[in-house]
Amino acid sequence: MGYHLARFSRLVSFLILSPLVVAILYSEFNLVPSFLLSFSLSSLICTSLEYLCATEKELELKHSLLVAALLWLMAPLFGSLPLWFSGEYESFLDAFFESTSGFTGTGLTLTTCADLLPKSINFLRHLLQFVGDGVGIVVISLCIFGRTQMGSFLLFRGEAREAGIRPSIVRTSRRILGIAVTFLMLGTVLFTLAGIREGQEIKDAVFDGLNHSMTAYATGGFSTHSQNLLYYHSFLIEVVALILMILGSLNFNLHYAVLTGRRGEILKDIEIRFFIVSLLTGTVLTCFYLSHSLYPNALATFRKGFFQLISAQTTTGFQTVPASYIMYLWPVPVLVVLSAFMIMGGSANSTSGGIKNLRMGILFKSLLLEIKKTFLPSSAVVAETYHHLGSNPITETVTRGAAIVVISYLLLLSVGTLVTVSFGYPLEASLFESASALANTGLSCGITSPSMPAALKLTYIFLMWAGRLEIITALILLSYILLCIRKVLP
Amino acid sequence: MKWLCLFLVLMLFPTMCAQSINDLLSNPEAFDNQLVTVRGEVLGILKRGNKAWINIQENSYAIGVWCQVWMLENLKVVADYQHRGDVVEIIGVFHKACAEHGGDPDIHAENLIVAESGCRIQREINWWLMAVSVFLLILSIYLLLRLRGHEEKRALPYWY
Repeated sequence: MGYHLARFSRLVSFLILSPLVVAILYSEFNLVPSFLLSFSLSSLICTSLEYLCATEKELELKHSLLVAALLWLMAPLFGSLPLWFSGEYESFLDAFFESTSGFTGTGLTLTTCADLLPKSINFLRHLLQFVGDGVGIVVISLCIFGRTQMGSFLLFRGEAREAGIRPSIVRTSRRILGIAVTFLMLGTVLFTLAGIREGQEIKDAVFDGLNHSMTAYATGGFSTHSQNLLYYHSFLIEVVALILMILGSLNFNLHYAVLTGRRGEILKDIEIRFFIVSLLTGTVLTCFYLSHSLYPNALATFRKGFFQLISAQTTTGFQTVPASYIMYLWPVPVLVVLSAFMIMGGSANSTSGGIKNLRMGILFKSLLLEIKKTFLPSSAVVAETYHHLGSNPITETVTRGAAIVVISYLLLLSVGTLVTVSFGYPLEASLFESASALANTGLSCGITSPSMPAALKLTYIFLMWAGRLEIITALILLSYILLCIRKVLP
Repeated sequence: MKWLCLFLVLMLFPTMCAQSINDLLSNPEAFDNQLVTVRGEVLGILKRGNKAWINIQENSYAIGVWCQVWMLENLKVVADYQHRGDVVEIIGVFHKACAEHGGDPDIHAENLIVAESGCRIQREINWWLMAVSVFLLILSIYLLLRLRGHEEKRALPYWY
């Protein structure tokens, strides 16, 4: 396992070297040693692991899942090195938290002021989100090394990605990367033009445009500004962000189907239908509750409510309201609605986190099927299907798989909320922040800050990691560790 | 003497009564539509015709200020990693959710003065750290090349 872990982790060591170019471009020469040192240390660890654990054996299923789980701990560990060496974070734990939030595409941040961070460190934060959540570490590795075998397929699944765009896993990876790069370029152009129109200098607009494009498509939510997108006070920027967030939250398979001319898939797909129905419901609920609170007119209520709702449902985490407003001024039902939408998440096999629309859609259909059965004679045979890249039957296996993931999410959400409440935070705020961490969203009501207790930081790191791996892979690693302990103990 | 006292009071008045941005954002009901005085470091300027947004920050809390472009004449330095930004003192009307600006919390400035000028921050290179990192870089590349050579000799299959 160590050998394969090292092979995939090496990509991350090169990744953390890349902001060196930005550091030189922006004359941040004092940060050059931070990047060199981080690369050297991570590379030495990978080389040692490769040498010591060299093997010719191929990965089995359990090993692949364990490697995927460990890779998603190793990558944030490497990513935290330049953040820590830069001296911009108060402790190594803060840097590790930020790196985990980056790789998992969460967007919760422990920076005191993102505007004052070095450009190279800001670029790295956004790049971590694009690579970690926008594309996937395994996906990029497969694109570069390009060998198809069973182990890589299993690792691909372990990273919560679905196969199926192309027959070969490497070709599928290349398609995913191609789609991501296309939207990255499109987003950069749109954000840059919008930034220039809204009064930014060209160089700042380009830098912000590239970074926000990376995190919008990756549904990450990091920003180069501490006010997040509220910094711009711009409807246009919000529209561009909305477009990219929605595109990022759609299934890669669906992107490919549309790009190859099968446009009818959009209207038939269960995920899109569930997304539209839930979005309409959520918009009505959010605007209804917000209309009784602080906003001066219906337009402002809709603009704030709708943006935050999309940001929650796509699990992006871009914010156009201050965190303190969510905590103190927004009605409690809105926080509950947003928490529910964060946990539901976007489409499967997309950059979104959460339970995913596919599973939610299947569970709703199963529920309807059960209700239908009660009205029919016991001898009647009832079958239900759902459309997701073709017609698929709803079987007990499919329903059970979806239900297990939902139960796991709810269990971890309860744990996260309980831990947060025990530190003295209000229940609704605790639910909101825990849902945000677990679903890899990044919307914050202000609990996440450098001054939060270390135990809570560790809890959120665990939630972000488990959420990114869709929990099951994380639980397998924990079970494996427990088994090892039981074997060692007499 | 009387004029001197009056001058001092007028000069110090805004500083004495300045609200923190944190106060405004965590208790906005109390300050809504009130004339407030805030002080903060300039994080960014976005010009919109003859008006502009400046975003200011104090103790990691930031807010947007809507002002006339001519008020920005004395602003020279915007804060970033390599610059300490100008610190401005603003007298204006605070809106907890501005009807004119889509519900954003903001301050419509009536007066803006530069209280402290910004400057460039000198960032020294740690040459000792640079030497260590270059040494480790060379070592890591050397070991990586050795490992690849070793693997080729053993003809280990790359399964991906």
